Amino acid sequence: MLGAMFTMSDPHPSQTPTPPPRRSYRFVRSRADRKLGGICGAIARDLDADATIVRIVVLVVALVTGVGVLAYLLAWILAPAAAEGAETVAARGSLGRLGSGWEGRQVAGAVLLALGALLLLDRVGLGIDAGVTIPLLMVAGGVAVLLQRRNDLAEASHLVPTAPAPSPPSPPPAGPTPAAGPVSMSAIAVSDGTDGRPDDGGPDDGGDGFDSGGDGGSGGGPAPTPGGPSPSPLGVPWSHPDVQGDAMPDETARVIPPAKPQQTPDGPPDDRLVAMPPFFSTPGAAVPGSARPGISSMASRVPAVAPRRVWPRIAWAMLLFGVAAAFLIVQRTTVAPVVVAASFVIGIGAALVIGAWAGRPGGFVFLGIISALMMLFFAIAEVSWRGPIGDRTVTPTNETLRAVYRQRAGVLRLDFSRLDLRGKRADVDVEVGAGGLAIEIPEDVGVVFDGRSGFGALLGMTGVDEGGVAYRRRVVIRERNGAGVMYLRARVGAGAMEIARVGDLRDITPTNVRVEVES
Amino acid sequence: VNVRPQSTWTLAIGLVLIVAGVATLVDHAGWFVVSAETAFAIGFIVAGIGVLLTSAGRRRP
Repeated sequence: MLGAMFTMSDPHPSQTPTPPPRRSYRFVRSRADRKLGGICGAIARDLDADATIVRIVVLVVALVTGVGVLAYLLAWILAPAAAEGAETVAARGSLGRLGSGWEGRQVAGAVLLALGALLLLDRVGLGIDAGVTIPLLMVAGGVAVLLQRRNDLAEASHLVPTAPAPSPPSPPPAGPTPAAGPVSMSAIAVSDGTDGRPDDGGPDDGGDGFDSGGDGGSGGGPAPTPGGPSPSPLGVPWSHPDVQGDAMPDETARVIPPAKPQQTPDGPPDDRLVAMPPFFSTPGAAVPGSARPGISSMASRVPAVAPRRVWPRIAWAMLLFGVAAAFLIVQRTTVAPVVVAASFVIGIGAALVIGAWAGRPGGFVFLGIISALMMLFFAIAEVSWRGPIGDRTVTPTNETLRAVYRQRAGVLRLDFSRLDLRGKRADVDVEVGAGGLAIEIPEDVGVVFDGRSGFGALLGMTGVDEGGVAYRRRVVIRERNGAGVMYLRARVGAGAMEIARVGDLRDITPTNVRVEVES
Repeated sequence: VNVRPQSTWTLAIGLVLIVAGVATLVDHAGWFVVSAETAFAIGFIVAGIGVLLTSAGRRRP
């Protein structure tokens, strides 16, 4: 008897809900929530955190550690973008939900001011130790994330409706049903054959976990009764486990399209988003009772394709023209590359400031970052980037000795073993853009060496191999037996330099070496 | 500024780039010795002020 009752109340006991297939995690860049490459938006999406906080943390890490920019660019290049229109995000971006009453813009401005002040204080010797600053910032970021998530849950608990009280049935809405959007669970409850059963994994739906069609009466479930649950104010029945198996009017079941759970780019359907009520998941709709921006779009939404504008094309054309002109200028004039790079940075910055009111020129942001990095590189390198390209060895004599040796790229080896500097002095400037520099000094010749490496190391002569960014060292070696003195000024933009006696004298004793380290 | 920018981040990055570029040119010309950190610090401050100023503007309809 009990079995019979059970059979009557649950006609399909063997068909248990089939969990959606789990796929391996894959990091994909966000399309719907991106400022540059969508990396921070993707991190925030995967961590269910506020994207603004993630962006601030990434910015701070980039500034403090110096590797954040490179890591971001690598992720931008390597990580694939989410499929167009297939992404579901909980759009955020409003730090006002932290309860401070501030908007995200104001928080961003305050953070920028604080970062600038910290950097300036550090420059004048009043900075806070990084060992203290970084943990404090991490703790603050974690607290902010926790507060934001708590507020999110509080908001969701207010917005997700409970089971509606039984009420007289309402007639189905006339005309197009407003449930055509991501009104997921409510439509599922109606369109799955009215039996309330979960998906059987049939071929009709691609195994998405839910039936995709139903005629409202063929599923063998209870027939529609006038006492069913009432539809929502938007004409769509609420979704709730208690009422999922109840009857719905046939008309409602027919006009509501089959709904599927919102798919995350790589992962199971986001049930939390699916369970949102209709108005909550309507893109751009204002949430009743919430005057703060950003809340209305918390639920799932598919990014719309922005219409093409004219000014980005003009800007790109001007940019390409500028690149060509800059190339010619550098080739034919004495303008330093750092000047050209700085001019580019200023131009792109101006375009971004203007474009901030016209739209989101993401490509220009990427270009601006690349230009800024190149500007920093050229500024730190401090070389003229002139001369031939390729490895070469120069062995000058007293007659062929030049005052300046330049090499744009490659390894330059200067062998001064054929010089006869007895009672004389030689002044030589050497510049290598990218590559390496090796200098061999004749025996007994004194050396006054001033070496600087933008990105690299200085090897030899002192017995100490050191390097770094903008590394500089002066070495003075006394002459012996009146062999003469060489005044060497060496600059390498990126790469190592080595100065040694002919035959490699890296075991020179420190007694006749005076080292001045200045980095 | 009366109208808020559509993208605050774009505005901030643009201001930082402008200030950093100008500071680099000034340093290269020898007028002042401005390190890269100082240049970007000034850029962040200018960007922060710019973002705060524009956040007070009215929204675009």
